[in-house]
Amino acid sequence: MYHYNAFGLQITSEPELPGLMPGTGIPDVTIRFGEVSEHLPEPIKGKGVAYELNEGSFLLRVPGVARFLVCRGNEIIIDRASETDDIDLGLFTINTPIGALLYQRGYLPMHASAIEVNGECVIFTGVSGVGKSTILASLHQHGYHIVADEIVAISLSDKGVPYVHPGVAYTWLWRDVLDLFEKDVTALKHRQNNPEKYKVPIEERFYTMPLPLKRVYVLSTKNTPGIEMEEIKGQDKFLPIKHNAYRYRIGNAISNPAASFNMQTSIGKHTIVKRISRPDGKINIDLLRERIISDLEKG
Amino acid sequence: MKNIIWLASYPKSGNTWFRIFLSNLLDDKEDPADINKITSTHGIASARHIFDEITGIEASDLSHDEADLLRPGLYNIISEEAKRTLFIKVHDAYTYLPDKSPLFPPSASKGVIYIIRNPLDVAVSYANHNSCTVQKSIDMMGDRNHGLCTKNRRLINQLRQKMGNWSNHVLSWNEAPEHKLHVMRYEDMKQSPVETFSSAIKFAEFDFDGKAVVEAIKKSSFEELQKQEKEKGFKEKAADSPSFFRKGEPGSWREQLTPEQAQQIIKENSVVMKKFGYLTEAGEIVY
Repeated sequence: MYHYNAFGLQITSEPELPGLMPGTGIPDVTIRFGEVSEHLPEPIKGKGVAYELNEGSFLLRVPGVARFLVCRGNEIIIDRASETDDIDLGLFTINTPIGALLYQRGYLPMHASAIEVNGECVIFTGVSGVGKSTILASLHQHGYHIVADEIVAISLSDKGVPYVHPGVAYTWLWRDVLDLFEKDVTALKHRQNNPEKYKVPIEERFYTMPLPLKRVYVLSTKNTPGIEMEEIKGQDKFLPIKHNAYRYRIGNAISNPAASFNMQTSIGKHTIVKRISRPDGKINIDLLRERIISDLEKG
Repeated sequence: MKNIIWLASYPKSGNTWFRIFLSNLLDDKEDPADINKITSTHGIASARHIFDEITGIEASDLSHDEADLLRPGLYNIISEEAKRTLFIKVHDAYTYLPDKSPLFPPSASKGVIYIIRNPLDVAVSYANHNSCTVQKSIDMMGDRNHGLCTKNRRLINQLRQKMGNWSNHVLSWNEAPEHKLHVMRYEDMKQSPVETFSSAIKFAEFDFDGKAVVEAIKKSSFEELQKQEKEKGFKEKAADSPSFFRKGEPGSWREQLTPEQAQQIIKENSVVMKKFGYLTEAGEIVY
C-alpha cells in the first residue's frame, strides 16, 4: 500500500498515485481495487450520464477506464478495465471521485487553481478553458507557490474561517500553454487517447500546509480588447462561488443545503472577490499576470 | 420526455436571428429582448461546461471521439429534466456513432428546425465571422472534414463539431429519418417573415396569434440588433470580427465574390442548391 497526503487527508492507496505528497498516520481515506456494480441500489438521489448517487455512495463509470465507487467519504473502490493504463487511472481517480468524496466529507471543492501569497491563499476560478491553469503556471514561473489546481478543497475552521488544503503536486496543461512557456514535452506523460494534454509535475514551490482563503478571482472572457477587473461586493459575491463549485451538480446532490449555504456565506464574508475579464482567444499571459501581480501587491 | 427542438444550421444562416425572435416571442416583454441575454432558448448542444456537469466527466480529459459517445446520454438527460420545450442550437452535422446510433438521439427530440441559407451568401458571412478571406471560407465550406473546435492543442469552451462540407451538412439533417423536420429558408425569413416564422412556431407546437408574431419580428429587426450590438456589443461575436449582425440581404454576395468564387460554390453544391431553390433546374442563380 502507498501512503499519501492530499486535500488535507491521509490517504492509503493500493494503486500508486504519482504526484501525491507522501503521508503518514491513520488514514482518513482508503483507495483500493475491487468489484463495482454497474448501478447503485435504489433509491437514487441523483444521476448524470456517467454517474449516480444515493445516500452515502457515489458511482462514476468512465467508459474503457474504470468504475469508481466512493463511499461515505472514506473509501474509493476502483473496478479497473483491463486496458486501463496507470496514467488513465491516476487522472480519473484524482478527479470526479475525489470531488465527490470531498463533498461527502462536507468540504466545498472549488473548480479553481490556487497559489500562496504572504501566508494566505488566492484562488482563480471560472469555466474550463478560461485560463486558470495558465495563470497558475505563469505565477509559478514567477516565484509563487502552487497550492492546488483543478480541485481546490476548502473547509471551515472551528471559528468558521475558510481554509484551502493543498492538492496534488502536478498540474495538467495543454500543449499550447506548454509552448507558451517553452516547456519541453518529451519527458511528460499524457493519456494515450488525449495526446496534447500533459501531466506536469510541480518539482519546486509546491505549498504543503493549509492556508486561509483570502482572495477569489473569477475569470471570464469577452470579445472586446483589454483586461477588466472589478470587485464584486455584498450578496453578489456568493453566486460566483456557488456556480464555480467543482462539479456543482454532483455537489448539490450530495451536500447538505444548509451546510453548503453556510460554507458559501463564510467564504464570501472572509474573502475579497474580484472579476477579471480578458479578451477571448489566445491569452496574453504576460499582461494578465502583471495585472494580477499588481493587484496582489496592492493588498 | 421528447422535449428538445434542435435549431440546426450551418453557421451564419440565421440561427441567432431566429433565437432572438423566439426570445422576443416567448418572453413577450414591452422592450426588445437584450441580445446578450437570450434566455428563452437554451444554448448550444456543444457547450463544454454543460457536458462536464451532466456527464460527471470533464470533456477535456477525453478525446473528441470518446466525448461524442457520451453526448446522446447528455441530451436524453437534458430532455428528461426539462419541464418544457427547449430550443437548442446545433452546428454539428447529423452524424452517427460507431454503434450506428445517432449523436442526437430521437428519444430526446421533439423535432428539428433546419435553417438553410444560400451558400453564396453564407460564404461571405462566414468569412466575416472568421476574419478570414472569402476564398478560405469557400474552401472550408467545401471541405468534407471541416468542423468547429477540431483542434487538439488547446482547450476551447465548446466540444468538437463535425460539420463536413455545406451540402453534406444540409443533407445530413434533411435526410435524418429519426426526426420530425421543418426546413426554414433564410431568404423566406427575410422576405415573408410572418408566414415563415409562424410556420416554424406551429411546428414547435406553440400557439401564438399573428399579432404576437408580428410584434416579435419587429423587435428582432436587423436595425434593432445592429443598434444593440453597436451600443453594448454582442457576446457571440468572434473577437476579431468587426460585427456579428451584418446587412444580411439575400444576394449581397454579388458585391464580394468573384465570378470564379461563385462558380466554385455552385459547382460543389449545385444538387443541394437546386433542391432548396437557390438554383433553377436550368442552373440559373435565384438570389
